[in-house]
Amino acid sequence: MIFWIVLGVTAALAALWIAWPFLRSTTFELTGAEGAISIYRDQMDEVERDLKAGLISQSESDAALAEIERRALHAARSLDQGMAVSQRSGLAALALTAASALAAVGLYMALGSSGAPDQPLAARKTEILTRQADAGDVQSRIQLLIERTSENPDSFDDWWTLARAHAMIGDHTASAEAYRHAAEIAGDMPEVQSAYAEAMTLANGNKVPTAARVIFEQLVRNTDDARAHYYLALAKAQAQDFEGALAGWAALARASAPDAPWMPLVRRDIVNMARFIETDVLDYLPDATPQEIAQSGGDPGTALLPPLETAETLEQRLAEDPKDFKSWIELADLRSRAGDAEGAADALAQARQHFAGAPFVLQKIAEAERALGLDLVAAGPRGPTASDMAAASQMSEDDRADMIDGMVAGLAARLKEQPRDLDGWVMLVRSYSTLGRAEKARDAYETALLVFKDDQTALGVLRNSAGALIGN
Amino acid sequence: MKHLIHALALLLALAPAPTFALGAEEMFADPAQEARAREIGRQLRCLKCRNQSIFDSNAGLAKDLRVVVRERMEAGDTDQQILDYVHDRFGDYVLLKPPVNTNTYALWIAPFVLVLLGAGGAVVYMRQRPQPKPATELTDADREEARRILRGEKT
Amino acid sequence: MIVELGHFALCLALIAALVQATLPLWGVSQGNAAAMRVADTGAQVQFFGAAAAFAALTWAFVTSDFSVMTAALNSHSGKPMMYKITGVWANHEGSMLLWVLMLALFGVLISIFGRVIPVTMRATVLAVQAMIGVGFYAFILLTSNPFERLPMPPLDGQGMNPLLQDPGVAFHPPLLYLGYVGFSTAFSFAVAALITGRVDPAWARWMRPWVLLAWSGLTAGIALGSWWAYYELGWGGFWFWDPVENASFMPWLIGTALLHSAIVVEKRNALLKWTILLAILTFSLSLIGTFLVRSGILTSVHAFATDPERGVFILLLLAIAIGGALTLFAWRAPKLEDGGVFAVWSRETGLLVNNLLLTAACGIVFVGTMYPLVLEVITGDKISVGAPYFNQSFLPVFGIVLLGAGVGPFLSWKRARKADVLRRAGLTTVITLALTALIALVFGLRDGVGLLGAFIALWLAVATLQDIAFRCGLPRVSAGTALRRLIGLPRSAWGLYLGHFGIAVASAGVIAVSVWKVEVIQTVQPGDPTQVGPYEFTLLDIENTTGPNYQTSIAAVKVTRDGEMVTVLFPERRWYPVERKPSTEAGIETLWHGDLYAVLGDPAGDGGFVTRYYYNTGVPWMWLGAALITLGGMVSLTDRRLRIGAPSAKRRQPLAQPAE
Repeated sequence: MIFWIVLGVTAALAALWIAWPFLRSTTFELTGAEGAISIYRDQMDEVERDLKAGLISQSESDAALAEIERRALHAARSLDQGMAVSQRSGLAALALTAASALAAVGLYMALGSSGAPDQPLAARKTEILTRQADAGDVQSRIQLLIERTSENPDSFDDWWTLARAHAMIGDHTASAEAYRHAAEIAGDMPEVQSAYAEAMTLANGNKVPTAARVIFEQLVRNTDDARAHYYLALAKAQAQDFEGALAGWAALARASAPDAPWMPLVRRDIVNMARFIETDVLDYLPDATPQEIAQSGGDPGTALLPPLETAETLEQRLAEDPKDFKSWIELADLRSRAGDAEGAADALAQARQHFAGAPFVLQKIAEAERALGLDLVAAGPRGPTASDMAAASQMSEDDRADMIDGMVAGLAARLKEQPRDLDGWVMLVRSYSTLGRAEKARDAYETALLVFKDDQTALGVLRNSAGALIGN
Repeated sequence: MKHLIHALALLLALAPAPTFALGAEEMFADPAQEARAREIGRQLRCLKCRNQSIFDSNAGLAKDLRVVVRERMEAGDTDQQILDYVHDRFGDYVLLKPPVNTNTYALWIAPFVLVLLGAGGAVVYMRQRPQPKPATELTDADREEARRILRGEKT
Repeated sequence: MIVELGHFALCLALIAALVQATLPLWGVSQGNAAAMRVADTGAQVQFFGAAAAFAALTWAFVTSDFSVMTAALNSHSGKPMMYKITGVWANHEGSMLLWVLMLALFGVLISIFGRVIPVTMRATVLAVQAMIGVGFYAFILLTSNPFERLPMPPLDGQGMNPLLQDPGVAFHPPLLYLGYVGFSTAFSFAVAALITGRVDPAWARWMRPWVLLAWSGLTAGIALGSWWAYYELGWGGFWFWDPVENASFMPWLIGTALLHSAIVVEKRNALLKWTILLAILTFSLSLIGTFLVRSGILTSVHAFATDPERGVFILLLLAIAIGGALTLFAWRAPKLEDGGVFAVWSRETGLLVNNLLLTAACGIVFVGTMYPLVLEVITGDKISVGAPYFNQSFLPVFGIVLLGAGVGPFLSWKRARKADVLRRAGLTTVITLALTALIALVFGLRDGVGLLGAFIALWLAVATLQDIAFRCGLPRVSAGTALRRLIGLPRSAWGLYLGHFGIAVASAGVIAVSVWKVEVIQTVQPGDPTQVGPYEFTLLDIENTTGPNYQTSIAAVKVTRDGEMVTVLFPERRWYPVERKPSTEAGIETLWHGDLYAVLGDPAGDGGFVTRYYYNTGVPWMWLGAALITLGGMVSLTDRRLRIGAPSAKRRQPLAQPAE
């Protein structure tokens, strides 16, 4: 409503201003020669000045003055000395005002999205956070929940979800704080208490603080909360009561179903502790596997370290199929997180070799490199060069096949992200069929048909060029 | 297989890739050689840029052409042979200085025509310009009136 | 709400322009002064509308309102505030809005400061101005509406080409448009002259300040664009004879001719038709420039828009505006009569020759620019017309223009004394030859073309100084008198001298950098010195860091001369993650005789970096020259006689104005 008022008033005032000349009292306007004559005056001044400065002679000055006079006279006599009259005319003014205002408003109504509100980014924060959270961004979800809890601090659910979200990204201090709010609202719910105490422990660097121990002890008395049992045992271990800890975990292991989610953790701790105090693991874990037995008595160094399992799997997979650039990037990521910057750089360097002919992938690799801060570590030469291309003709058959594989994989990866590239698709289908990969060629062809399903011209091109290749 | 490589090379070279161009490997150590390469390069257009020569562009294609120029130089070609070599492969478009042929006669003649037109225009104008009429001497009364007008008094 | 009010304001501007384009002309034909005065109020409302629309769009960019499509496509919430604002015109829709805002600005300035212009002339001029406006408002609203809304706004905008995220290019379009659009006033005055049949010295004087303003803006705009290319594209080049550059250069050339020819009309009542034609041509070339850049007929960094619908619309506008004006010219011009009489040896002739040469030079640029387009349309063959062509065809003609500009001021109006002129030109020749020889000897220069160029630039400088001395009465009068006269010179004379001297300085810079610059491209290890002319560049180290919306590697390059520390340069290599584009920032140190210029390239693998080092002789002179030329235009503008709107101070007895 305010919008229409502002718009209407603006339109009316503006239109009124346009028509204003019709509302003024009767005036006369000179249309005559005065303007022209003022110029001759200036010219006369200039001649006089030049004469004084000695730039022109007296005779030149006289001639110039005569000419100026002649022109001025001509102007004064020939240019019309007329005047235009303007008369007040309310009717004309009204008509002009109304017509202008209505035309402007009408034009706007035809073109504009009247009433569409402004949507500055600041006002869209919640909406954007929601959308990002829906897309799986935990940080956004946390932002959103923080806002929700500050608006509505009595909602148990919000605090609870917030605490879990914090925990998910490893911010246990914030998580503990949120659990505390949840626990305050929920009162004595054991599950909440236990989660709160656990978060306190994790925030404390996995050392059970007194406050948490008190809660766990209380829980153990009233419930059979597995977490409480586990952490009490851990607290004992941290208080140098290793036997007690081992006994606690063993009791927990006996009381729990073998497939309970916490069992792997409990078993691992039992094994480690058994090794640490050099006792027989079978006393505490009768169903220990041979591997666990070996670990409990074996080399104490290896078992404690979390194994680089995923990195190894990735390496294996890449050894089998090196044409998967995402895995290479993931591998670099894992290695760099493990503090192995050189290994990470090496992974990217290898990836570069495999994709030397695929600029799109090289770009991705470069991005990953920047994201990991590896470009400081300096890598090998980047980008395919014409000499690479030229070198391809002198390569061994294997190397050449490898380079082409890399190019094709790069092309496929690019089309996945930027699918509206007709030539790219045709090239991909052609590449696959030349390489004898009929299945992949057909897949690519069908994907391309889907991408361009609304574009008859593109479909025609596809059918003519790529369709023929795969026998369609 | 070779055909495929070339097709792919062309395709992939056209794909946008933010590569910074001038690599170390493509430069001559000898400054004179390098200067000559520069001189040739300034005649060649980077095919996907504004009116920039291949030495004034960061684009990948410009880099490839620079490499070509250097390779031909190493192979012992003369400047003209190198320009012809590139011209044969990429057509007139690659030459910043268009070749003189039926397509460009008009272009090359145009400057002369324009200057001649200008000169002709000047001559015609000078001949047709108003000739000094026998100065119509103003009468004293006229001069008096003109002065009054010029002094800003109402006639 | 603000955005939609902006949209409404744009509609209002169109309606105001429609009224302004029609009613005043009716008023002129009927002798109805009220209707004529609607031209003034219409221009004011039109400006209000355009300014409000522009402000609303700026608001959308500043607040990152991505429900506005233009903002969503061209802005990003993470951009620094300055580039959010300049981003408003760094895209097709916004730049067109800026275009009409400038147009409306000139209209409103004429309505306010043009009070000395009789109402019939002012009404006609403003009506023509509004006709151009109607065309462009319709173009914007129908094909390039900046207020298009998105029902589902994206999370963030798509950012802006990093090459354009730079202060140089940020303010290049407004200045360029000040020039382009400013020439619309010349066009309007010319068409109004044809309509009313009135062309006299007064007409030229009313028009001239607007032409001067536009021309100064265009000069500064071109220089700024060239400066941007120089330090941002990272190749030390400043002018590529690219169609987009030529599009701004052509109006400048013809506009320069117009500026000079209008003086002849004002002083001598001669060259009337020619001046009108130049005014029409100047703005036509501005329109063609807009068309070339906006229609997507060229593809380049500057040409953002690639919509054929828009191209056809602009082509239509072009045909109506240029075709209409030229038809009117062919019909009405023969009835106009030249008044001034002049001899062969006279300043009038000199300016006529200058005009024709500048027009021919502009014609050469025009042919070189349009030829590939036309050829492709006709034959389908693609050719390039690049620097070598323009250097061979344009530069000789322009060289003659410069020589002429030197001696032109020696000629007096109407009838010059041939012997005097030749004597003074002879003196110029002797002094210039001596100076050129001196330079060649001292610096050991042997390059023929370079020395010829140096001769031309020196000639213009020497002749200009010589004329100043002459105007002061030197060497006949005492130094004191001369100084008094020097100070007493009218502003327009200062404008002339500044402009001509600026051209000389800029030309000297162009010649110096083309012929004597030193360029070294190589891979260096940190610590390795590189000899660049008399300077030694040493890459010290590279630091990786982040800017507001980019990552960057900054190198420190130490420059010494004969072991003496000169400066440290900081070239950068940036990466803009949102736009996924790199950009280079050259490290530049400006010395009076040239720039030390370093560009950081790729790491070379072995710890070294590809670097490009330049010693660009003369480049600072180009910018200094451009600044002098612009300053000359501005100084002329402040001349009492041209001061916009100032009625003649000499009016001893004010004309009794009928009551208002």
